[in-house]
Amino acid sequence: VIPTAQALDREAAERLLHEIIALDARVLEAMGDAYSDVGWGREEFMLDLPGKWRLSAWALAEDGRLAGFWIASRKPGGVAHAHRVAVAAEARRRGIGRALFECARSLAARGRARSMALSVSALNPGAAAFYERLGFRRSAGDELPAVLGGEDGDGVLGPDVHEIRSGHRNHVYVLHEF
Amino acid sequence: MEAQRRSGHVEISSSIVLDATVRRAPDPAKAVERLDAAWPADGSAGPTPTIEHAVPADMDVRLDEMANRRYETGHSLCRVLLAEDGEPHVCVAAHHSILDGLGLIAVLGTALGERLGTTARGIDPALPVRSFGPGYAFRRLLEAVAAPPARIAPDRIAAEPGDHLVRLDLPASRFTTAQLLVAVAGAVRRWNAGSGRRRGRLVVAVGASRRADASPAIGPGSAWFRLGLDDPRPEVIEERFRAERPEPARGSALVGAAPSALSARLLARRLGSTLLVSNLARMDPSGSVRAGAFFPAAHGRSGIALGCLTTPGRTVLTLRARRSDYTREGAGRLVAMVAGALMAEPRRP
Repeated sequence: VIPTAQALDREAAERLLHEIIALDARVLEAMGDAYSDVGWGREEFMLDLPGKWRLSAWALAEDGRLAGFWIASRKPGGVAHAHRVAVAAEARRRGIGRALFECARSLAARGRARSMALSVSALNPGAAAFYERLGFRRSAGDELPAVLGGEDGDGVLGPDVHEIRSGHRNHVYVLHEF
Repeated sequence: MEAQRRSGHVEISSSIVLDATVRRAPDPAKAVERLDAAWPADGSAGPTPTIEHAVPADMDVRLDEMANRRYETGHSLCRVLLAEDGEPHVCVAAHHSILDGLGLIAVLGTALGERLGTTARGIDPALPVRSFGPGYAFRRLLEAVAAPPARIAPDRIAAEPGDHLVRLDLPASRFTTAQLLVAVAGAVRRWNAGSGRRRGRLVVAVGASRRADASPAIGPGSAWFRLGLDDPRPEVIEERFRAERPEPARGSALVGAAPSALSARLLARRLGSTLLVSNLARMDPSGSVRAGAFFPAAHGRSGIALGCLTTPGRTVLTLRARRSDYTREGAGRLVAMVAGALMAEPRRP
């Protein structure tokens, strides 16, 4: 079975909200700071941001349950920035993450984004390796800034391309050609 | 009372635990002095606790030990653990017979040298417990036979002792205990539906405190209510709360109520509740506590307890579940389902 992902618009997000929050909470409980320092609720998931409902995606597992999500919005400079990406533990190694990425990439291309970006905890080398396999590169200073400015509460990024959140370092990964 | 006798029941956790992350660690020597000065002099809580030390890497193991280690004769019935490196933790555990959740906060405040409180209000200390007259005892026994409280479907059977302790940090949220119970009811029903278990009566034990005001003091104050969640709407639950009286101490009433004592013993596993929920509400914003994970005692047919405590920056949901019946992953899944139901509602920060 080839997993598929699809665009997550506002209506779908509202409909799936319980499952999305529960999945986010499960991943947080299992991974701790390697995923995030705090879970998200309605306010975070449903917050309207530029381009969010045209750049986000969700995927189902074989049993029909929510298997993962990719929540992104548009940042200045044409960046499709992923704020929150999660795949259910039981759905890992089944191509769900790649399916989410392919969908997000397609949405970003359709929205004429120039690059895709996201931040990965330094405590999560597995995720960093995954994004590198997809073509992302760890960002080097000068491309950062405009990318993830922090105005949406994602944390303020310093000039050396990391953000500090709860004492942990998050590295920024960027994909320019997609 | 002899400590060992209080901690011997294999199906009821004896220790309740509060794991707090704080802005600055207290000086251990001064913390001991303060605890010594505040500790009950009548010996009811055993000797003043000493301060144990931990490093951050060991916190999970030490927390587990704080919760699951038995209280031995002659030792304090309270434990205080301090981790000073990195983000400081102060962890307080106590035998439930000497402190309730607000009592743990009192011990934490004493160790920190702060007066801590929460928005939780105790019930009237003079409010009488439910009367177990023959009529009520008979009704409960009938319930136990015909419609016992639903059990949260176990996801394993193992001989492993102790409880899993899982926590979930969420954005600080303001909600009532009734709203929390609605989320719990939804999560339990979905969990059981996913396990193919027949829909049963959800009965929840709700932790309460017999404290006259919101300033907790070191000393006993435990109370609990037993509520059916067959109509899980916040307004209905609140109405029932107002109408209910607290239950007598666990297990004592029905089991001791002649002429039904024998029947009660035979039906012990079908009496009681589905799980326990204890909400310590919202901590004062002025203190140095950044986040607090409160783990009540695992309870009821399922051996599961859900705890909740909100600080200005965090709401922390916890779940404690018997290792013999649940995997750690299962416990994490269940608390995440509660979060899914709770956090999908509009939040009042």
